[in-house]
Amino acid sequence: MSDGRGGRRGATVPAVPDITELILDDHEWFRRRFAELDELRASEADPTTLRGLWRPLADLLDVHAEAEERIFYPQLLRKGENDPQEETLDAIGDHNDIRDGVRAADRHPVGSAGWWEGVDAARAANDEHMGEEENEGLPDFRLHAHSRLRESLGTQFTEFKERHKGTRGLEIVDKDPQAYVNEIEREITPPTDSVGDNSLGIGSLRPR
Amino acid sequence: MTTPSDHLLRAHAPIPTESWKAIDDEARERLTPLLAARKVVDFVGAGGWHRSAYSLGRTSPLAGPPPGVTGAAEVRTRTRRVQPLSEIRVPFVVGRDEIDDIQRGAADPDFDDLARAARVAAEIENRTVFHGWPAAQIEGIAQTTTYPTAALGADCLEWPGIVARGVDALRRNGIGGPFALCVGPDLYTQIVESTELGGYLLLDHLKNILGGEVIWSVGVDGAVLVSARGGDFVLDVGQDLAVGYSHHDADTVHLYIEESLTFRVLEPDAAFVLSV
Repeated sequence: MSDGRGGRRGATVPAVPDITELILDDHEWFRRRFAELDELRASEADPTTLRGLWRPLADLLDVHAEAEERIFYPQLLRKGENDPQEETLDAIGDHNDIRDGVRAADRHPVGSAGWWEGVDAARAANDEHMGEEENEGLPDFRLHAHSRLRESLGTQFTEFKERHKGTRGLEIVDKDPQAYVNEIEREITPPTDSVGDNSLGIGSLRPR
Repeated sequence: MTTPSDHLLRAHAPIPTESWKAIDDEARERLTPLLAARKVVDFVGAGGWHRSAYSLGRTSPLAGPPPGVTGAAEVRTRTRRVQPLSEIRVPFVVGRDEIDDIQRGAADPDFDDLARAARVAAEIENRTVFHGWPAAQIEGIAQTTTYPTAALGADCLEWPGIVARGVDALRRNGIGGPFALCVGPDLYTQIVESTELGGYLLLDHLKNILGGEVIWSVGVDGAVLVSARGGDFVLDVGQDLAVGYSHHDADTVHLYIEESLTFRVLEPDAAFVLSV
């Protein structure tokens, strides 16, 4: 049965969940791991135990952000209708803060004050990001993207995470949010001589 | 029918779409880090190639109505004042072999002349904003500032105090921050390689004073301290930076980077000039 947007109601559950569900699954996993870190912090766990929990968490924070930037946000910019540009700018900025927190933690011995500072910074940025994404980007995409597109992206998201497990083959670097959005928008509407603006699209470079 | 961007004649160049994308990407990557002025002034536009002037919102009196009109003794006539946009076109060449290699998948095309043109275009824009362009009726930030120029001197460890006094002068005149220090490449190198007593980085000290950034600015003489709060400086762009086609021969394609712009200082009190 169609819901009028090409989505399906009462249809069988697809083999691969749609990308919005996979992103929620990762968010839940992040929350649980950070909660476990609280327990370890309270019990003053040794660095080996902390590292055993932190490394997979840090890696998935990086891989998840990269996967969203390569797979989810380009499509949100295409299909979203609730100011997807603003949602994307916020998300890329948050991803940068998460990456910065992870890198800050990695510069210190596990369990040291500097390490916890980095972990806390990554967590705070991630909490903010998840809250915004769950209330803005994900609902926007569920409402306006076809279910088959969401499932197809779910497959890509799963494959990407598998291919780059532990950040294998990824270069983890911050991205300029505005340049990221501009690049995707140029792909969506490529400049040609048949439309008005054929500039390089540089525009203002003032920080937002 | 032509469109505003047809004047770039891109469709007439012997350049396939993929190679155009590579050229545009390279131009964008080269230009963006060089366009220091755009990091601190308000960008208005892009208004397109047809845009010809920035309205000053002011008028000049006219001597009277057209000759021969009777009963016009009480008629008041004025003419609107505008500042014209000026065009910049910086030529460069790309080898046709390079274009062919891009189509074959080459990931390292030789765009040396494009890099040179990008630097020239960016320097023109920066210099226009900071030091003006008399022939284009543009006054730059350094020319309109109301403060006397302060000398930085040779000892860079003195610079934090000089910059702090500049920031103080702006604040005393009601100019809010954050502030940015736009510095020429040589000075910037001196700043980033210097540490103060105690190992504190000079760059970090300056950023703390500014509450903003120290910006590497090709085309700036000395340094210019500006408020980055917005509303004080306007870069009005018609055609934003774009790559157009001129002509070609058997070996090379002649292209150019183009822009049309003008610049206005709205608040001369919002900038402080520091000389070397």
